[in-house]
Amino acid sequence: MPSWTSKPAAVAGSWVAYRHVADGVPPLWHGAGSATLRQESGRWHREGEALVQYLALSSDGAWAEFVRYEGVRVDARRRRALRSLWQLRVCADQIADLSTFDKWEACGLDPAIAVGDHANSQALASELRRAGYRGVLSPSAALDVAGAVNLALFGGRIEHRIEGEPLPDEPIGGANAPWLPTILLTDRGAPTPFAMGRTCYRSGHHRTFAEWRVGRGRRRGPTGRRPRRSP
Amino acid sequence: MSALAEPIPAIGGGLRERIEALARDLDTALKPYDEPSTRDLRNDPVSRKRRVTERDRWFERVRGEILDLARDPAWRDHQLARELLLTLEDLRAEVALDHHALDEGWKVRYAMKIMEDVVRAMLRQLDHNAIDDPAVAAKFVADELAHVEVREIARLLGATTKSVRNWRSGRVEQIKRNPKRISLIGQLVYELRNSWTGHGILMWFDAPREQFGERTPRELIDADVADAGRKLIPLARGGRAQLDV
Repeated sequence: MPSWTSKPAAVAGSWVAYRHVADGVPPLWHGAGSATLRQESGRWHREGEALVQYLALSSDGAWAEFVRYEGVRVDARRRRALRSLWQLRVCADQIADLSTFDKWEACGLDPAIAVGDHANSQALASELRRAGYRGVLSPSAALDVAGAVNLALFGGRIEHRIEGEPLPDEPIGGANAPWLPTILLTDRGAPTPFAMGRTCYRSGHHRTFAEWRVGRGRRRGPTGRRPRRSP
Repeated sequence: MSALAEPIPAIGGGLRERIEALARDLDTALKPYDEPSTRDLRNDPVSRKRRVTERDRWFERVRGEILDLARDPAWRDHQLARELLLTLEDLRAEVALDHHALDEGWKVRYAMKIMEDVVRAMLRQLDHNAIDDPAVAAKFVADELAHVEVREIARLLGATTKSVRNWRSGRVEQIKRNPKRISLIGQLVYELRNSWTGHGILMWFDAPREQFGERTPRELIDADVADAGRKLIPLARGGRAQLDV
């Protein structure tokens, strides 16, 4: 029995996404068997359960993920990072649209899961996979900016490196094929000051979510219920 | 070639070189699959015959290299060797279905990329095995942190400044002081070196971590090397690629 009361909308689309990795590491997760498919646990999977491609829909979103993971809080550390930043074209369907806190709530899901502890989001990810979703759009826990969204794709994908040309608009081998066109933006990059300044750290206070809750309280009135619509 | 290529005394027979040759074969093989640009070339029988012959010749060479590696005593019982053989079978199946050697469905290239993952994992495995030797780890850390002050490296490794100077100049004696600490730091530096400058790596060891109650990696290592290894290696490995955390 899924935890949602109303099924998340399954959207199809084409997105430009970003992802940071160490220099020399492939930009996407793929491998042959258990010895080469060890992806550490993240928000939408437990290690050993499945592969997930964690992408951000803005470059600052990707940098904020690095800043949050490494706990980078000072410029002296930020400037000493040497990361590869990749741009990718994703064409996919059956993506669960939980891109705003409102959408979480409309599905009967607790929006705090989007930016909170992983146990609940990992369980939700299992439900989404069982229901046939190929990924999920969700507010960024790391980049504390209104409208910052991450795209997590379930399963392995493979990079097809593009050089000297812009990202193609069309997918390679059709939508949902494992190949994603990728462009290396930098192989020795550091997070932007903006990304570091707007990162919500693991034990931090997610201002965007807090503001949404305050606004929701206002919309619902003092009882916490949605105001009745007039007939 | 890896920075660790030279100091692997335990493994003979040019094993690393053979794996690197296989990695190169895979890397270059992905390029000839650029499709012929015109319809005529794609359908021309001579062009087709040449493509198929070249592809088959390439496959037989790679097959020979893989079987040779899998028979090597160093890999015979290793999980990665089994994965490599399975990817060889996957590749063989896709090649057999690709009659025109055009790989229009991108399936041969898919099999090659997965095979490449296994080959790269084998190279990393050789590196990790080498760094388990504290003498290799000591030289590796001293070289990777070439721009960091000697006394800082000595403090991190729990060694004397004289030893670090010796390691930098290639004089590595048997490590008697803090060998486990030096091996662990070697493994951590191996994971961190493609994400941080030398000074950035040094700062990583001194940055408080929320997940460890604001303790730093260095404090964890000072307290208990084995316990620190269990906590810090996954942390450093997880930093290789973006996660949503």
